[in-house]
Amino acid sequence: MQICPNCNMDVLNTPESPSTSPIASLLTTNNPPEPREAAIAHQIITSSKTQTAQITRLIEKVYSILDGLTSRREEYERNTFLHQNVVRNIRRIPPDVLLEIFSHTIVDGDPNDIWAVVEVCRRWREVAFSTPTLWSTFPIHKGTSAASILSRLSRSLQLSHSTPFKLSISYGVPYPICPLQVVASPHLKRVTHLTVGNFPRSNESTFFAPSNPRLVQWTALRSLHLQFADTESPEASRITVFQHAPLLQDVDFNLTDRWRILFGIGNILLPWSQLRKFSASNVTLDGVFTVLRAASVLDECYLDFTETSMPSNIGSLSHQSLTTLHVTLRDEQVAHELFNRLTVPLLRKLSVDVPALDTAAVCDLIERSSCGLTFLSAPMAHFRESDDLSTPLRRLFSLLPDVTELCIPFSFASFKGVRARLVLSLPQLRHLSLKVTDSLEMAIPDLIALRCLVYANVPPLETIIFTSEKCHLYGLAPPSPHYGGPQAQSLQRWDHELGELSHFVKVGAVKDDTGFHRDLDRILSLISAESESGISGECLCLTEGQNVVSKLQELLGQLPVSLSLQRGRISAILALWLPRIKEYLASFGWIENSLAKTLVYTQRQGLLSVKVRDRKKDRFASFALQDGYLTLYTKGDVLE
Amino acid sequence: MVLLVTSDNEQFNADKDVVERSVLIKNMLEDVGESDQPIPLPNVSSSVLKKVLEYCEHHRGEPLPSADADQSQDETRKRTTDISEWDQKFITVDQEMLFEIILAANYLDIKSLLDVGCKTVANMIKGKTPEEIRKLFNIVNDFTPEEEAQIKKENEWAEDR
Repeated sequence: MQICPNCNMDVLNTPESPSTSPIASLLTTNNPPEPREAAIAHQIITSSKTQTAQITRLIEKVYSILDGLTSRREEYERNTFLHQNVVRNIRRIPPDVLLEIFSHTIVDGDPNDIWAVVEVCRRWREVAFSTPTLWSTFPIHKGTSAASILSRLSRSLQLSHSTPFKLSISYGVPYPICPLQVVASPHLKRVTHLTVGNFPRSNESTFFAPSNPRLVQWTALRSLHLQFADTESPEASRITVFQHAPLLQDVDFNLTDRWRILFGIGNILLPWSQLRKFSASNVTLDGVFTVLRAASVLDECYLDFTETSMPSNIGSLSHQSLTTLHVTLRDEQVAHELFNRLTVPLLRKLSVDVPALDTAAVCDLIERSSCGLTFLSAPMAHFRESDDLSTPLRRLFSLLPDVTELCIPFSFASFKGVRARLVLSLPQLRHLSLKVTDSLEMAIPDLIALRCLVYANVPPLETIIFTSEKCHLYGLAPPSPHYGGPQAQSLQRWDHELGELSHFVKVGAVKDDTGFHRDLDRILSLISAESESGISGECLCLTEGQNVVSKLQELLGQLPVSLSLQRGRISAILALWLPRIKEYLASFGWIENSLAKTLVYTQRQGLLSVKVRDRKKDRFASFALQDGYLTLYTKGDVLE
Repeated sequence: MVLLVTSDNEQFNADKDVVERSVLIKNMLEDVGESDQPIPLPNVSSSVLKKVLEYCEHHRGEPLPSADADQSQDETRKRTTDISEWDQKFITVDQEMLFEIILAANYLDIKSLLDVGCKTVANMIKGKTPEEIRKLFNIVNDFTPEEEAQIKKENEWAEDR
């Protein structure tokens, strides 16, 4: 017997099963019962109902006990969890490490992240609030309400105490009060960096053009970035408030097209003569010349124009302190004119993004200025055709005796006959980036010859980066003496067949063509079968292999989505091959990166990580390996 | 070779140039001079030390951040939350181990490992709401109702302030 303490019930004393019926024969027939038999049946019905009721009560009791136990178990589970939390390692993280974590959340992150951190728990809030430097940068808040931005700005200014402050504010949202004039005003003397987005709102025009600019003290301001909005009235353009900023050295203007046409930079009064760095997009050329004439100690200049004609009365200019110059221009004639009018004797770093700019213009600038460039990047430049195709290149190289980093276009015609001379005429060259402009067919014979340059291994040349939009560069790896044989023959055959299929895809509908499907399936089966038994990385890198890889990639891009099975098979083949190619190239010191469409040869040994970045963000960054990374630069989005 | 003894009394033998990525151990070795004496690490368990040594072994020979690195270098380091591919794979561990590694890197004074750990946690925080962060790290919301009200108020701009 087992008595339940809750209900005093004998939980094991359950009713026995029903005994054998005395009228069992009636249960399996349809005969009517005798009166005696009917009485027995009634008696059994009554007793069974009583037992059923008793069992139901018992079940309810058991369920209730079960519920109690389940809920008790949950309590214990919760208790375990809560006590596990007590000993979790996150509680042991000391404040200085916690702070280190928080400081990383404000890097490249959403400004909301640090505000989320302070709302997590008391400890996090205390640690974050007790560190003024965590609040000394106020970035532009996107997608946050004006009220919230004002509140956070006020709080950041308060929490950062007296530390130098980097302030960014965008007028993209309508503020109930002026953020700079009202909220930040008492703190302006510790602002070191100021960014104003969507400038200006007319309701702050009295702030930017005050009656007495000396009253606003920018005693710490070093860097000023103004981004002009398109929708403002011309009257709001005047900026005089920064005239008395004794430390201001770095100015960045981002004008819209409309602003460029209306004003240039004539309405902006700045202490130009003390500036060291000037960046601008969309300013007019005469505006830039005005700045360069006024900014006599300028060191770095980054310019991005949309100019399509050169003003005639602009004159020429000799700047005696400029060491770094970047120019982006859409029109090569304007660029030519600009380069013809500039003399920059101290220039060391030059970067030019001008489509089809004649290298002669760059050469003229270097020659006229007698400057010793150490960095030249002109990936879109153009070598003018002459009888001897290498003449323009020879001229350029003769003007670069000090260059350590060089990025130029590469065409086999222009490089013919220069290879041996290259390393001799550029004795300081360490990093060479070549943008290959030729197509695949032209490239292959000369690629083989180009290997001489790469494997000549003449110090101090360390890194060669090839970039090509048009062809694979795998052929730069040298073939072994026993290259060829059945694998090369198979690849040749596949190249031919894939070529025909690719042509068919280009000219006709292939979706419902069973003949095309059959042929495609057959060739893919053939390639898959032989691939697994091993097409070597070497074969895949050289001519025949490159052709097949290109055609497979081309087909993958061309086949309709409905042919998912075939697309999957092509992807599987490429997934098998590409690591082989990488491995083979790596054995010769090459790094292949398909994201940046680059192939890199480096003398550096050991494992390397590759990052792909937008060159725009770091114009004069080294082509070299840094911090264990090889950073490859490409246009457009950052692909990390 | 240097002999290290963990909190759970396991012994690890490692090359001097590997263990010297830890400033703590480097200083200890300099203090005791040439000696076969094991170095006790009472704050580090064997499972964590194994991971730490794997990291040090991989980064063997790389330049150590100098002790007098000025603030600008520190700023440059902080300006990016990039973690190399190998480091990313290395630090893909469960949350308890991640914090154990951070604690060990802090105790052993291995700046680069601490950096990887902190950046990883920072990346986990980014883009999340306070409630999501609490849930992720099992943090108790210990604000009083008054504090909660204050936080709510902080997000509103009062023109009369």
